Amino acid sequence: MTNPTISAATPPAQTTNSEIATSNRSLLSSSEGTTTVADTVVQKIAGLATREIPGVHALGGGAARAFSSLRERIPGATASAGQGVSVEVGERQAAIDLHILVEYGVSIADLASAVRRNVIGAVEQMTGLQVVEVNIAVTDVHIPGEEDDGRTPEPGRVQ
Amino acid sequence: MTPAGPPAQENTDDPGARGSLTISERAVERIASHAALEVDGIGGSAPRVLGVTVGAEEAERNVRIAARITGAVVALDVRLSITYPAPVGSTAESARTHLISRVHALTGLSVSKVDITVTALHRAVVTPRRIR
Repeated sequence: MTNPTISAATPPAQTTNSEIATSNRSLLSSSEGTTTVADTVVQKIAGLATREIPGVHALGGGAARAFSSLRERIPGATASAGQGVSVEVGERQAAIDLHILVEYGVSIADLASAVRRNVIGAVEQMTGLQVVEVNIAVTDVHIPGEEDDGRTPEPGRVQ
Repeated sequence: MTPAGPPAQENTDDPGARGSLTISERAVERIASHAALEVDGIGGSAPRVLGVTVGAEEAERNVRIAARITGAVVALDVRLSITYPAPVGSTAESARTHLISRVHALTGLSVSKVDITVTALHRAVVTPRRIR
């Protein structure tokens, strides 16, 4: 059992890559067994990390959001944390695609790099996977004061 | 995948630079449509379906924008109305400069051209505009 790991560790002779490969191998796979992270795990972490950034209004395209607003009306069901997030997870690496709606008034380029930094930080810290890329697609813009969303914050009666 | 992928990505140590950013034309259109109303004396136009105007020309409507994105460059086609006593030429010109700076600031795309069609002149409304 020890032989395969040694032979697998030696071939990455590419100097730049070997350090990362060995460091990640020690985190997620060892001679005593491997750790597998499911797609859903990465998807939810990425979804929640994206929502943490101010300026992100919602995730998902039109169809996904319409379906989730329908689902919110069902008692006991909640909107999916992984909506608008698609991931590819390998043994040591992950790639993430995000579909987001932004608030009107934020700089999209700055927002995208803030989202990317937060998502990569959260996923790498929690799962130990190396995130090679986070591709962000801005599908739409939310303009405040438009009455299309039914959840305009009502001023509370009591302060 | 592993030998080819990571070395290219490792050049950019900054996590904020790993991956691409795509902005849909609809997002740019909505941003530009809202930004155009920030200029004084600019109002909206009636929507058009297959080149035919539908409904009445009212200043309260949205400014109609068609955006075409090529790479990092966007071209805008704008249909708007102008409040009557304002000079059409200079108002359209200030709308153009405002759109170019605002769309660039908000999306990061550079605006190559802004074609403006003035569809109507409206009398100044007595009530103050909703959006400033």
